[in-house]
Amino acid sequence: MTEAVATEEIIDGQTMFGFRPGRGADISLAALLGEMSKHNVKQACTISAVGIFLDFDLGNQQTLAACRESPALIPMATADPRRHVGCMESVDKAAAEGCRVFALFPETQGWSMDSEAACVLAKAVCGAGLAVAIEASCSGGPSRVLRALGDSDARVLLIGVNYLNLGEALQVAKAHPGMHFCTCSLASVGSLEIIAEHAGVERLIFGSGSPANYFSSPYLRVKYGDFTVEQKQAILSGNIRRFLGQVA
Amino acid sequence: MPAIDCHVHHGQWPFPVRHQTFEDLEDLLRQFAIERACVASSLAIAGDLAAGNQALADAIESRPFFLGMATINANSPEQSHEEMRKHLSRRNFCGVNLDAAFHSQPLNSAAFHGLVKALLRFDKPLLVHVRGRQDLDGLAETAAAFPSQKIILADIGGGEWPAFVEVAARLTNVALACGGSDADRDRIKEAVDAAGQRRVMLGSGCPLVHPAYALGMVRDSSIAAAMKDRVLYRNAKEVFKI
Repeated sequence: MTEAVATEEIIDGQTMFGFRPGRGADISLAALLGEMSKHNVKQACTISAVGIFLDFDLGNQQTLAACRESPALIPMATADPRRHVGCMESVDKAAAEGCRVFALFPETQGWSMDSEAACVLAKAVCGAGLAVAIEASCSGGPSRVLRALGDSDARVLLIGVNYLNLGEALQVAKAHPGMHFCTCSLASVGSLEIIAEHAGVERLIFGSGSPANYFSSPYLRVKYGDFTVEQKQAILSGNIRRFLGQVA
Repeated sequence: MPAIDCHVHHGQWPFPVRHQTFEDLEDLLRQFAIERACVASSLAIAGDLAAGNQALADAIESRPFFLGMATINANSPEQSHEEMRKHLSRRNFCGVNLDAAFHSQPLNSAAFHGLVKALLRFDKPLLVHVRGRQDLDGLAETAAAFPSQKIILADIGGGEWPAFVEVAARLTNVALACGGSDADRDRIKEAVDAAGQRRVMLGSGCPLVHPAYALGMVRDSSIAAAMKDRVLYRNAKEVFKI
């Protein structure tokens, strides 16, 4: 195997750390930092698994602490509308603490983006000037995200789009210029290229799901994609810089 | 490191996937040092069993890179028997493919048992795309009933892979094809630890899964280099008698 780009900058748009119930792989903070070092990842958006699976307040504290300790990490805050109590405060707190992106996990946590609680939360996130990353791997997922956000000018990263619901996600992207696609589950031949063709290469943001997932699968998918060197660089880092409103 | 991909499709799918001619497929796979590919027809899987298998047989006649997988369907046992008789004696057909999403028979049904029994005389492996736990339980029962039939589980079962690994751990005629779009770490190591070094092999699922994506899993898996060689190449070479 030969790899097309000799020098590159990678910013990983989707990582997590901590402990994942039901799976044995080590996803500790040390494992995440180790994977980043091994694959020359310059920065990574990350979130504590505790915030996803148990307690978003505690998880957000862990995420911010990890990011203070490791400046290469970019914090993703979260809230779980099933709990309701404390959700809106977590948005304000995330914005005050300098978070640029807020993540929502309707599929993992078992609630619907159609719910009033989710719509109010998502709009509050966007109103606070934060970008939002939302799980949307199932049929109907991207459409529910679109309905929840309405015609806001939100910057949205759809996580988990795959060949089964890519057609739907492309339609959603046409309706909302702020929709972006995380590359983590876009495994099929032509998927990234079809998004570039129908929605624009600027909508593609590299994300690996590391260390819970193999880093090289989505990475090599981009690396061997039918793109110019400049387009690959945009997918690997340039697009997320713009998505996060990051200057340097 | 050379590789053999035991799970490749040719033909259209109802998803936004770039159509691949046989030439495109071969070029794409060779880019990743894949030397041979076991290919099944999507038309045979989801449309017309006989026409799909025949078109595949015709197309790969002059393309030695590809080895044919005759598709069967448990809803059509008689036609499936005929497809096996027709294609499995060909020198360039190496096995049988069945996708449980496209039939309504349990994988422990009498019809399916009849197909597996008939397959025994050809001495070729059966690659099965199993959809969920119920299918897996049925298939495990069938695998136990026909211990000399080699059965390969596509994609290590996707998101439910731990249950699939467990089946391969207890049934020595069951192997695991690593590929699919579920990139959970470190499922390949767990598969090798459970099933042993000879029963895990590359099976990307191309074009629904890009070979780079599947190879990335093997590249990152925490198994020894010699074991990666087995997963990428030697195990499929032995199982498919290539």
